[in-house]
Amino acid sequence: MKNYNKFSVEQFVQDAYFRKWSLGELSPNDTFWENWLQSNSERKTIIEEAKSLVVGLKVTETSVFTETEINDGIQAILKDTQSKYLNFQIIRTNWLRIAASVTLVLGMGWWFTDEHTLSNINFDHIASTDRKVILFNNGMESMVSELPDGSKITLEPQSELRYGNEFGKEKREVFLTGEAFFEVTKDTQKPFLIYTGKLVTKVVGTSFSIKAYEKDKDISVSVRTGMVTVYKQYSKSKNSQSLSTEIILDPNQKAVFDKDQELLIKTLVDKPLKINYVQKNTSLVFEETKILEVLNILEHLYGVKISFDKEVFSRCSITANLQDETLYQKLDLICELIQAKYEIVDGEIMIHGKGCP
Amino acid sequence: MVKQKIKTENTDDSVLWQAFKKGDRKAFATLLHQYYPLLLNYGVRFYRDKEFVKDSVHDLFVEIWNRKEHLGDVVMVKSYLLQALRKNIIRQSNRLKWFREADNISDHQDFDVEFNIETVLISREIENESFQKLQSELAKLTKRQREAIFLRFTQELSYEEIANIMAINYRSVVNLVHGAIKAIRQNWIVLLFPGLLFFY
Repeated sequence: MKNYNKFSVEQFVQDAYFRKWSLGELSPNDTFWENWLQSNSERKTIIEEAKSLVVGLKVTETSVFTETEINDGIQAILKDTQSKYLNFQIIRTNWLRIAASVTLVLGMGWWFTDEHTLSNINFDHIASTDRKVILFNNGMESMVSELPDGSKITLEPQSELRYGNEFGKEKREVFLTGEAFFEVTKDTQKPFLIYTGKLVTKVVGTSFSIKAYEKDKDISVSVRTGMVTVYKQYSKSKNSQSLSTEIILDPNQKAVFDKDQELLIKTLVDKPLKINYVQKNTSLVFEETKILEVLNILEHLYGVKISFDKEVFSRCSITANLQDETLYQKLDLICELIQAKYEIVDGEIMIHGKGCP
Repeated sequence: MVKQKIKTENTDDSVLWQAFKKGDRKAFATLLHQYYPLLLNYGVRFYRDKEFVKDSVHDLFVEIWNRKEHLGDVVMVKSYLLQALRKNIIRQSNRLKWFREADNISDHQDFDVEFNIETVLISREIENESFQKLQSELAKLTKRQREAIFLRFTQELSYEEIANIMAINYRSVVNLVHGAIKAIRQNWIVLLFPGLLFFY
């Protein structure tokens, strides 16, 4: 039992039991303090002072957040942490969050901790005897150049591409700062590797663009045709390249590097382009067309995978003209018509809903 | 009696935490409901942007879920979360400084508590006027004192927990709290209890 007789005001103020009583949080049956006061009436002033302080300092919090905001926030967290196949929310906004949270900044000290500038890192890979070629676009327009292997590169303003003498001997290695569009000639024997800081993009023969500006918070690789793989380089030694996470990008897919998770995230490009996998006379005007068919056509048209429960949506059909919309607009419209939601997970589209009556 | 109850709360929390670490969604949801509002309100004390704070708290919970297997065995969940959030927000707001001219963000981030005691007033029969005076006395405290008081009396945290959260040592916390109480007593209680004048 505590020696309340000897307690100072401060001690009362910080005593949990006393606080409960002062704030009226004890059960009505608990008359401990009333009794104590009666037996120790000379401590009355101290008790009153302490009680006032407890009340005053308790501080009722005014929440600037509404009930709705709180509930929505909790739901958002639950959704973002659920396994991907159960996630029912459109996560486009979350994708924006991911893109925004990518804070890999080339050349800034707090990412490359013990390395110097970007150029220095890059040239670790090229022996000092090599002749170095530097393509630098200082102008206002895109600059097209050809590499020794016939690959074409469209270099954007304020961008720079470097390669050494060894280019094309066993490998085709280039180093990029800024933005460029590549059209790489096919050569399965000699992989084409683009170094943008710690990110390495490997291609066989495709067209794609890489955005890796020094001042930007993220690096992104977007694929137009063909296939590329993207991975983060760990090892500093020239010869070994230990692969951390390697992901494969198909056309219309895009990789964004997330600094916090140190993961490459696969998603879709901003503006998915139509790829010529469907017959030219395929119409995008639908009339009471089964959703299965509509989505199949879109899959082929854009070269993206769309997953959905065929059973659930078996009774859904739509009437709509989808000729002019972007892929995302098409998806929005379709989902609205069939009361469903879509999300992009790992570069694929997943559609969830209850189906149709 | 009361001491036991506090212990149960900690035990409840640590049980929840263990379950959450194993991937128990219900435990995670319970933790969320319990601490999400608190973290939001604590966060805005540091950076007065609701969206920013919402994002920070969101990211914090997503991060701890993603790394749950690697987290330690936390018993005092509340202070763990408060500490983590405080760190994140200060770090984020410092980083934002690089990209936009944020207003005066320093490492000793402003801690602004509105000691709004109106609702308490109504339930107690104590004069409005004297409590308004209390409010102004509280406003005179330093920001660190205010934060310490907030964590001690509103969040009912121990000195040790507060030391961890505020990243200062134990002794400093004690000084902050005692200093604050002393200041308030000198300037406010005296008015409430005129008879006490003699003791000061």
